[in-house]
Amino acid sequence: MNLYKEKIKMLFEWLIIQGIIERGLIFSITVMSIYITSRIIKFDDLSVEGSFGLGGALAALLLTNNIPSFIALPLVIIAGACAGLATGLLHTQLKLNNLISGIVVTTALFSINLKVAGSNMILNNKSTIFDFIPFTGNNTMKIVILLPLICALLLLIKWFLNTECGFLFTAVGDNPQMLTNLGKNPTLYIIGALMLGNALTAFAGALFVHYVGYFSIWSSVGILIIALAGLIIAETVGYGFGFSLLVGAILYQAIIAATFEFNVDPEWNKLITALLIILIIACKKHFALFTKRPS
Amino acid sequence: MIKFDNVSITIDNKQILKNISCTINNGDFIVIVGPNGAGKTTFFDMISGKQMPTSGSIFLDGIDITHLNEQHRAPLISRLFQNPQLNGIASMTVAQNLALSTYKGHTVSLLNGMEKFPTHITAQLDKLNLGSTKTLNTPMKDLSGGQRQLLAFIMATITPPRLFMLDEPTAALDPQSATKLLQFAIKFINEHTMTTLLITHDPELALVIGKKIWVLEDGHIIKQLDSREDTNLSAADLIGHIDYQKLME
Repeated sequence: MNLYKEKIKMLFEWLIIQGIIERGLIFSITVMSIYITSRIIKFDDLSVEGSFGLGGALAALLLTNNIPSFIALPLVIIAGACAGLATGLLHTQLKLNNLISGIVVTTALFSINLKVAGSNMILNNKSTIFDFIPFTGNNTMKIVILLPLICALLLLIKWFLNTECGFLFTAVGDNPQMLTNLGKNPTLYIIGALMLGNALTAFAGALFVHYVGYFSIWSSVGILIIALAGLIIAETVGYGFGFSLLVGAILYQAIIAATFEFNVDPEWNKLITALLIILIIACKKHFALFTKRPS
Repeated sequence: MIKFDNVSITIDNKQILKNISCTINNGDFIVIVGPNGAGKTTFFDMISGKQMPTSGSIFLDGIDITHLNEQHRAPLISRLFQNPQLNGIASMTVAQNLALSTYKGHTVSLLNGMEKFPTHITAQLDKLNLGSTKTLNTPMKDLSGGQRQLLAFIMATITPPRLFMLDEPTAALDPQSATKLLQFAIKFINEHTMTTLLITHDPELALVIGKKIWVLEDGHIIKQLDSREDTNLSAADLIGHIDYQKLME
């Protein structure tokens, strides 16, 4: 009897860890997106809040209308890129400030998402990408699909950032004048990076809907701060665009899961996230003060 | 040959450049001097296409380029700014910056960013102590101001420009670094007979290096001097007499 209980406990613990990793992997795509916008092109893009919801809403609508995932997901990515294009155009053509451009697009997308999928939409056991797992009947091993998919995505973006085009993405965030000196159009690269970032976030939103089996308009609220927390944790464990982004997102999910263990009301999650960000930044500053070399 | 025909620039209702007419011939090395606010940097901005003339025309070898924007003029013109931050990508390594500078005038692709690294300049880099593997892998932000300007000079000349503009390139440097940069730059420019414009506040420097010296004041080119014809030129001819004794009164 004790052995049986022990096994159930072990299984339960594994399911918690597996859930943390799976959610972490999905949110790591948003962390990658935030890295591209805020660290590479130095553009604090708030439109990711809207594009995460847009990805989720479109995924839910398309799946419930029996559109297969291999068609639905590319459509979601294109829609996300369009959200990035809108932010980019507002910023570069109408000269709106970074933050205002993002807020305008997010606000507009909130209505669009409501029209697309309503406030909630359940997938009703429609076929998701996780149904491609051949050896588990009850979708318990979603990590089998998520891990290679996210790793491949990360490696693809890492490769891209090391191409000539990727070099110009880095350059435009650091010194747009340099692009003009080279005869390139900085606007094109700012918009391109925003399209890539928002396409990734929309993809994450769609994967999240595939994962949980429903769409909720509220699931995208606070996604920016979740991604930012993941990014800040990632930057304490690693440097640059790499696997540390995955680790950061997973560690963040682990911290949130730990709060459940301590029976903290989930309504406090956003406050905990905000405090976590403040704590890490304060620790980093404190640590930097003590490690600063004399000039 | 670049010809300016009655060019003016007005910014916020203030006329910065006033009816400028002049010619830059191929192979010229022109030093531009003048007080702050004379319009020297605006003159460079106009040539690079950053500022469009309010009136007048600019011709390059007889072709009207007045309305060609900065991006389209870039393959013809290189510019070294006085602020080292503007001359490269701080977060990228020296090697990456050098590779980046070869993209000028070419369409970028999905090839590896380092594919076009200019291997032909390694000897030049070695001479300036910038060629070691350690330095090549150092982010540009970790170089000294002098090293950054030297590197920026090499980057600006990797693809030889039709016109090279140096906007007070030594303003942010200590005297030793400034001398090293100028020695290297002048030798390189003379060897390649590169058409060059240089802005400086230092009249002595202008007299030493400038074959032609233009004095800009209040939006006009008030003097066009040739140091080879007029060997008796002095600093006072360029910037007027400054009486430092008055400081002590």
